[in-house]
Parts: sequence; structure tokens; C-alpha cells
Amino acid sequence: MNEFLAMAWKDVREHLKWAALLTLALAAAMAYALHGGGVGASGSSFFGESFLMISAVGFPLAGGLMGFLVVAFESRRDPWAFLIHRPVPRPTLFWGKIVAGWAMYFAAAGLPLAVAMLWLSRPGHVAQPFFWGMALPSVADWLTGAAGVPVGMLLALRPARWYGSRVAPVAACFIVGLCNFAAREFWQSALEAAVGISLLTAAARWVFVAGISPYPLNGWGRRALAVVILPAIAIGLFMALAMAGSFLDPESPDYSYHRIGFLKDGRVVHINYPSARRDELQLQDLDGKPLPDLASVHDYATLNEKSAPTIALARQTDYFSIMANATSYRHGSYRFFIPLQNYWSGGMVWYFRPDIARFVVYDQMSSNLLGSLGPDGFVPADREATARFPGVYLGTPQESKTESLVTFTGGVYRVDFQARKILATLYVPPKWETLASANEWVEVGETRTVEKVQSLVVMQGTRVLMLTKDGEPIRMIDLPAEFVKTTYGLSLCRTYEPDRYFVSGIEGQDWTGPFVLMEVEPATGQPGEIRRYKQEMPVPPPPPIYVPGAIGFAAAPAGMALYAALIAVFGRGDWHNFWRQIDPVMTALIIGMAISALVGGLACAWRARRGGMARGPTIAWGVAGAWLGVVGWLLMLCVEDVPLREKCPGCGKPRLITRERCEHCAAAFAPPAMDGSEVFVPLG
Amino acid sequence: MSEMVSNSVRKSEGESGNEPVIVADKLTRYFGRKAVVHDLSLSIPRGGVTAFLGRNGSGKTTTIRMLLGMLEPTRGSSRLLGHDSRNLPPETRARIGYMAEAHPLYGWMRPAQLADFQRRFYPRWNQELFEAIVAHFRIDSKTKAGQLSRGQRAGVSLGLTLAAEPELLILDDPALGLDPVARRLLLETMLFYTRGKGRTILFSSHQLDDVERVADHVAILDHAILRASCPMEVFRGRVREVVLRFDGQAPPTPSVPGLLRTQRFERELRLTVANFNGHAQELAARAGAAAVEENELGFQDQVLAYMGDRGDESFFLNSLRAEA
Repeated sequence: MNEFLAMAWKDVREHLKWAALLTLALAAAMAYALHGGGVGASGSSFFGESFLMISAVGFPLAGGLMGFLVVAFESRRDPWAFLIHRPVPRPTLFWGKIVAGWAMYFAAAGLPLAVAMLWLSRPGHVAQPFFWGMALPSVADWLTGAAGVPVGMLLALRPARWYGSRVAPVAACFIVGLCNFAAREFWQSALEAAVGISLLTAAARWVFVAGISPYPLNGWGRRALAVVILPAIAIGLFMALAMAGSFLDPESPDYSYHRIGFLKDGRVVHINYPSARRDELQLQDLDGKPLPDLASVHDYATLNEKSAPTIALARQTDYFSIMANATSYRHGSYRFFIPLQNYWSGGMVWYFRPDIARFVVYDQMSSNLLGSLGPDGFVPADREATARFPGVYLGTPQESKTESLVTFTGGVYRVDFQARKILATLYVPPKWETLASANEWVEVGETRTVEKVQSLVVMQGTRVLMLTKDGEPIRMIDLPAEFVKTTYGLSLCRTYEPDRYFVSGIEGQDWTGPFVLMEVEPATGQPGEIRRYKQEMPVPPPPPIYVPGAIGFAAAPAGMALYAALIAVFGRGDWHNFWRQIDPVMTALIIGMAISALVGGLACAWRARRGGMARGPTIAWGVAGAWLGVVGWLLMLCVEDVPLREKCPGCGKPRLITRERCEHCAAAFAPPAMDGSEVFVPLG
Repeated sequence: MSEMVSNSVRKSEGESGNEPVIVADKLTRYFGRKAVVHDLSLSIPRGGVTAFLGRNGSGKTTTIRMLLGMLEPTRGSSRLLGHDSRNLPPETRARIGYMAEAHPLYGWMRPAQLADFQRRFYPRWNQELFEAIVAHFRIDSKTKAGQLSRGQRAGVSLGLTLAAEPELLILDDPALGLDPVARRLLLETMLFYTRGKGRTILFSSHQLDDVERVADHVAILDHAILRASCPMEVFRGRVREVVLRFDGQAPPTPSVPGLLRTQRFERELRLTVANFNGHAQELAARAGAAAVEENELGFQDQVLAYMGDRGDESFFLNSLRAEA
């Protein structure tokens, strides 16, 4: 313990000035991000891009610098000898160094972060609500940045076995950061940071113990280093492939899009346009024949004038909910507050706070809280407000303008944010019912002002209500439950000649199903006939055969298995087109993968055999090569030293220079030639 | 200062007092395709000073690093104080002092801070000895190591090494770049350290007069191959100069086992020969010489003969004369 502390203390003393400089640099960057990064408008301090950039990128860089410094000056021959020729196990020295690196990193990055948190937590500094939980993304970055320390040590310490492999651990650090970025909850970030840091530390530990003129790593050391280097090789290979692909296939071939449109006059038409030139439309009827009266329509602006006006209906309660989008603790502030679009707010900054279900307003100049707005009206900051808007806040963030429509699952309100007033309660659903959406209908091309609003459309369960702009009922449409369940992107459409209403959408969640149109009886509001129009999603032509072949070769079985696992966990999502494109050339993909497995496996096994490895490691490397393909072979080059061979004087075959005797004929190495000048007399 | 040095040279359990402190067995190291140390076998007994000699690049530092377990041998093995160099346990490492070539120190530390840092690692730390050595080198204790002269750095480095009271001291060219006074101080300290204490020093050096003064044994590396390992007096007796005088132009150099160097003059051949059997007359008759003379050589000339290239070409003036 004494030795460990001595080493840690020495390194802290030695590099404290660098840590102090780093603290100043990070503090300056954070101050700039907080002060000049759009705070007080729609941006938010901890969730501002600049601030998150500093924590997500700056922190690992800071960690890397600290890790590099604690080893770099001692990684040359003589200083290294002075360091390690001590009567303590090398791991003790390593732990002393890495703990010093971590201590300096956590202090250098944590100090400005803590100051920023304290500053933001004080009222009057930033015109927005503050919750301590808002700091969690930065805290997660702070923890994840500690992965930079072992990476910096590896960079400074590990002799490069082949060009570029020395910087390979940076890619592993990048992957750790990426996982942190993708995590939805703080505990997930903390967990992946712990796993990533453990792996990187294990690799750094074994490399340190092996030394700068390395002894071969032991099995665990090789495995840890392999895991650390693997991402870099895989990323590098795919980047090389992508670059090669861009040279080989610089332009994507043109192909036609095709979708269904619905016009004001009630006609359903095909809209065709080339992928590269969306302003060159062609309209056809459903049989593919040209429409003479629409021959002049070639652009979207003209088409919109002809199209039936639509208004979006939510399919289910949470689909368009802002709160439903607060899926990650680090992407956006929605778990704490929803900033309104405060472009023309007249010096006021409005937010919706879900915890109190009220809008709150700050003065932009003083950054002080002015008060809150609820169904009971405006309540100044010095008075307690208790009334809450009912249900969940729906819709996209509103502009905090004079007459805004705000929708909750429990009611629709017209609000004057400038005057800080509730103008009207337009609709409140019956008890036990919740709203899915509310939208105002204005004519195509008109600005959405109260004067221009023709009606209010509210969706409540499977029911669509049309109200006047003051909330008086006009019409009610009951949609079939099955229709609502299976149709996505529901819209209410209107034709003028004759004046009719339709509900449209697309069947199937992945937007590949047919276009569905259901007419509504104008008098009763009862749903009428449902019509389906086949709507082929655009399918680009398959790529040249070498593209999937190369992808399969680079990915190897491991890459494809990883991809399949990701698909299984996260679903195909918007990649369906990729698969529709790839399916026809799947054979080439598989052949590329098989060749990769064969080449990788044989290359690794050959190299292992040539290096005189035992049967077990040879088989293990062969399997790894077959699984990882070319990546496996490159990995082997990085982590396995294969000794040289020279001609055996006995049998003439190449023999390993590391063995006392020839593996072929068991002859010993010849001693150096004597020339008679030797003087050997036992000493002592 | 002698009272300060503990006489208790400890031996690990089961370690025989007669066992050599350094044993190398066919130690070989390649860098790329080049063998920088080839089949080196060496045994150094306890006590005494062994000089490890050779030209730059002959493999001295590589050998020392392999002995200390800092570099893996390509093949062969070595043992220090009875333990395999590859896995020297901390207790054994505590008994070995090592001074690297460039006297590496933490530049921001003052000598006292360096000592304070080092003592945390060495259970037998002798602070008085360290202070005495630092005083002997006249080093200002308030000066940071980075601002010390090379000689002073060597002094601090030696102090740090000796204050740990090692049984075995390995010094890699400790006098490199030192002025004569600093070299003399270093030498005095080394002699003080080793004499009568049963301690062992292995040091590499290019300062042959220093070697002659302090070394009990010599080991000479020539182009990665160990050519000599013997007590100093044996070496001094084995390498001699034979002068062959001719009536006319000197003939080509006769074949002589152990021939290290030939110097050719108008009517004379001066041969530096190792292991010369003393049959000078026989050699003269074979070479057709009119007269023969056998001389002793100074230590420096003996070592230089080993280090230089073999044969006639070693004396570059010969080739100039041939061109003329």
C-alpha cells in the first residue's frame, strides 16, 4: 500500500500542472457553452449541444491526456528501467499510476462540472427550470471519460506491432462513448462505462506488466488487448471498404418513386417521380394512364394546390405525445421540461413542466421566474399554484404567441401566452375518455390564425369530432376500431367538389402497406366503404454484385451475427428498404462471408502453426479467424508475436529462432564460431 | 562512511554462498533478423568487480537488460541471485541495484525528495549513506534533479542505488559523459562499496583506465559474441604482442590461432595474439622472420585489440600505404 501510494502521489505531483491547465480549459469551454450557447431561448444549458459536446468528447480526451502523461515520460528505455526496477510487483506500480491518472482526470473534469451545476442551480442565472437530474448526462460522460485514462496509457506504452495499431484503443474508447450516448437510462450508462473501463484497464494493466520491450502477454492480457483492438480493426476495415466503394460506385443509379395521392376533386392518382429529381413529377391514374388535365403538374407546390387538404389524426394516445418522446435521459430535456418555441415571446421564455402540469415563464433579461400558467390562469412566482392541466401534454412544442392551441389528453385550451391568459377551454372529453390529438383546420396555404381557423378536429379514442373554432360540435365520425388499429398516419381529408370527408392512412407500421381511404357519410358521419390502393414503396435497384460480396467479406460471420442480433433486439425499423434491396443479392453476401471465414481461418491457423504454437491455440486462432474473417487475421497480427525463423544448419529447413532445438531435426543452434582468441577461465 | 554501510549481506534461504550471483546460459537476443547477443554464457561469482566491455552496439546494454528481466531473451536463460531473470521476485529485486546509462531521475524532484520517494520501496534504505554520497559529490540538496550537471546526476543516481544496500550492483556505463573528477568520485564510491563486503559489481564501461583500476574480472563482447570472461590477471597474461622482423619486405601475415590484430610496417609485423603459446621461435621460422620479439601489452591495448576489426585491415594506414 505504501508503494502504491508513493507511486500515485509521485504522478499526481508530477502532472498536477497539466491537470490544472486542463481544468481551466474545460472551465472556459463550459462557460462559453453555458453563457453563449443559446441559453434562455429554446436551447437548454445541460442539454445544449455545445455543453454535451464538451462532456461527450472533451472528457474522454481529458482522460486520455492524463493517462498518456502518467506513462509517456517513463516509457523510454532508461526512465522505464528506473521506474520498474523496484522491489514491488509491476501491477502495484500500474495501479498507482492509473489511480493517479483517474484522480487527476476526475478532478480536472469534475471541478468545472460541479461549478457549472452549482451555478445553474442558483436562480437568476439561466432562464429555465433546474433539476439536479438534468446533470445526469454530463455526469455519465464524466464517468465514461475515465475510459480515456487506460487508453492514454496504452497509447503511450504499447509498442506498435504494425503501423497504426498503437492508436487502435481509441476506437474502443469511441465505442464506450457511443454506448453511453445510446443508453436510455443513467444506470445503463454507468453500467456500460464500468464494463468498458474494466476492459480497457485490464488491457492497459497487462500491457504495462509486459513492458515497453514487451514480454509476450499472457492469455488474459492477449484477450483483453484483442477486445480493445477489435473495434478499431473492424471500423478501419469498413471505412476502407466504404472509401473503396465510393471510388468504385460514385453514383447511385436513378430509380422511380411511386406513391398514391388524393385530390380535391376526389380522384386518387399515382404520383411518380425520379429519386434524384423530386421536382419532376408525373401524375397518372390508377391504371397508369396520363391525366391530360394534370399534365402541367410537375412540382410539389402545384400538386399541393390540387391535393385534398388533410389534417393529422393521432392513432393512439402516446404516438404524438411529447412525453412519449422523452425516451432517453440524455437526449433533450423533456423528462424535466418542454421548451416552447419562444421566438417571438417578447422577452419571456415559456416552458411546460410535466411535474406540476403547468406552463412556467421566465424573464429573459433577469433569468428570474415570473410565474406559471395553469387552467386557473396565471399565478405569479411568489404565490403557490395548485391547479394542473389535465392529462398528458400532446402535440409538438407550441409557439408562445398570442393565441395558441394547447392540447392535453384531458382537454383542449386556447392560450394567450403574451397576455398570460387562458382564453378558452375548447373541449374537455367525458370522464374516462382521453384525447389523442386536436388540430385546427385551415385552408391550404393559409396562416394558422384564429380568424382563419375553419374548425377544430379532435380525436378521442376511435371517434373524430369536428368542432367550430369556439368548441361547438359540428360533426362526429366513429371509425371502426379495427381500422384505427391497423392504419397508421391517419389523416382527415376533405374534397370540395362535392364537399366530402375521407379518412386516409397506410396499413402496417412499417409504411409498406397499401394506401387506405375510407369515405365518411357527410350527413351522419358514419364510416363508409374502405378502399385500398397498392402503393409500392420505392425499391432501389440492387447494387453491383461485388458490393454485397465485399460487405459479406468484411463483416464475416461475426459481423453478420452481430447485425442479426441488433435487428432481433431493435427491429428492422427504417432499414426495410435496405433489406428489400439486399435480399436479391443475399447469395453474394453469403459467398463473401464464406470466403472471409475460409481465408481468415486458414490465415490464422497457418500463422499460428508457423509460429510454433501448440495445437490448442492454433485451433483457437483458426476458429477466431473463421469467425472474424480478415479482422481476425489482422487482430492476430496485433496481439500475437510470431517469432522469426532461420535456416537450420542440420536439416536446412526454416526453424524458429526462439527454440533451443530445431523442431524438425532436433539439432541445437550452432555456437558462435571460435577464432582462437577466446579466453574463458572460471571466475572466483 | 564505512560505519554507515551495513555488513549484513543477506542471502535468501537455500541460496548457497558459493552459487554465482549472475549466471547466463546461451543468452541470445534478436532485434529483427539481427542477433545482438549471441549465445552468451557467463557466470559471475559473489564478490568482486566485473567489467563488461565491448564497443557501442556490441550487446552490453541488451545483455544487462535481459539479466534484469527488462527484456525477454529470444532464447537462453539467466539467473540473478539464484532466481530466473524473467520472474525476479520483489525481494530479490530489492537486493539488486541498477544504474541505467543516462542516470534517469525525476527532473522536478530535489535529491531529498528523490530519496524520500525511493525509500518507500526499499525496506533496507540507508538514508545516511545516501546523504553521505550526495555530500561526497558536493550536490546542493535544494537543486532540482533536472538542473543538476551530468556528474551530479550520476552522484544522485548512485546514491539512490547504493542507499538501498544491494548485494549485487549492475551499472550500465556509469561514467558515460562524466568529467574526470566526477569519474574519480564515482570510482571511489564503487570501490568503497564493494571492498571487503562480499558485494558484487557488474559494470559496463568504455573508460579502460577506470576498468584497470577497479575490475577483478573482465568480460568482453565482440559483435554480439562473448570472447573473454576471466580474472583480470589471466586476461593480462593471455594477450601479447609478437614482433616479427624481416630482412626485406614483410610477407603476408602468417596463420596464427588467436590473432587479434596485425600492424604492418616496412620490415616488420606486429601481431597481437590471444592465448599465444609462447612458441615465438617456431612462428618466426614459419614466417621466415629474421628476428622475433614477444612483448607484454598494456591493458588498454589488449582490450582495443579485441574490440577492433580483425586482420591486416585494422590498421587503416596500411591500406593508405598500399594505395600509394
